[in-house]
Amino acid sequence: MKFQVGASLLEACVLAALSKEDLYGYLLTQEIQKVVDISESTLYPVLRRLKKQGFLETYDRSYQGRNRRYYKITKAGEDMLCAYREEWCDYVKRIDTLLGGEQDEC
Amino acid sequence: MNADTYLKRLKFFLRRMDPEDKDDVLAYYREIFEDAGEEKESELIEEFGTPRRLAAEILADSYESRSRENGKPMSPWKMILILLLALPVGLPLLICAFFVVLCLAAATLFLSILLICADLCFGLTGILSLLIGVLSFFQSFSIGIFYLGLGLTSTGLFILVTRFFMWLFPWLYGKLKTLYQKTAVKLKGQMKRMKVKGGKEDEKTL
Repeated sequence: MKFQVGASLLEACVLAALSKEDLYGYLLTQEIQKVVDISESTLYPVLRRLKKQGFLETYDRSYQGRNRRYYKITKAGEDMLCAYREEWCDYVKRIDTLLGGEQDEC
Repeated sequence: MNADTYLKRLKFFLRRMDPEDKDDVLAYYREIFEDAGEEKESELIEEFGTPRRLAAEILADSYESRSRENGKPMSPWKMILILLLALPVGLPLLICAFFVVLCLAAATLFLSILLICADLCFGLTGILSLLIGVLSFFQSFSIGIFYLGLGLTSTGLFILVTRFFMWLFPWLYGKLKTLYQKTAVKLKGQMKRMKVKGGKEDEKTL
């Protein structure tokens, strides 16, 4: 059984991944897939939403004669990431009071 | 199916999309295919699902975000414009509604005044007839009986109608009171909700 990853959590993960370095679509998907189990196709709507909201911007680089679109976090995106991180800490603490138990219970 | 045919079919199913958005989608998926390499092509296609399904997902998401944009509160200028456009139809309707309500209120008022007057008349006639009846009883039995009967009937009607009013007015008062209280509570709730909403929006802008 796995926990469903909601839209806002996915947005937060994308922003966090991009806060380290600019990434292109495929690599970004791989980075996210390292931690959460999502399909390759789920990320496009997330990226589009984030771009529309001004949290990330794109630029194109040519690579081996074709185009690669890189995603870059904006200042507003960094602020949003900060807010997401605070919210996440709070969320984990709250869920932990109910769900969290001793390690050996598992 | 290889990547090229997959993308071609995807493009076909996205034909109703805004051209710029469509190019964006296709560029994104083409890039994923290219970066993944040919050996992973079939794996990716399996993961994406059929072109029709992927297109449906993308379209659904774009509609959702568009309707969310439409859900934003209307700008005051737009509101004023709509109000102005609605005036030619809305104003006569509003005036009509106002007069209908006014007429109903006036009719109710006059009717109750009339009924109260009638009630008072019953009372007065009752007492007077009883008096006349008692006084004339000694002169003529039939006239006395007639007046006594009239007086009793009038007094009976007076008591009946007065009882009705004594029930009606407190009942009306109670109804109006609850109506007023309910509206007041509703308005208060709305104000509160608006305040909370406004506060949230303030937070967002921060």
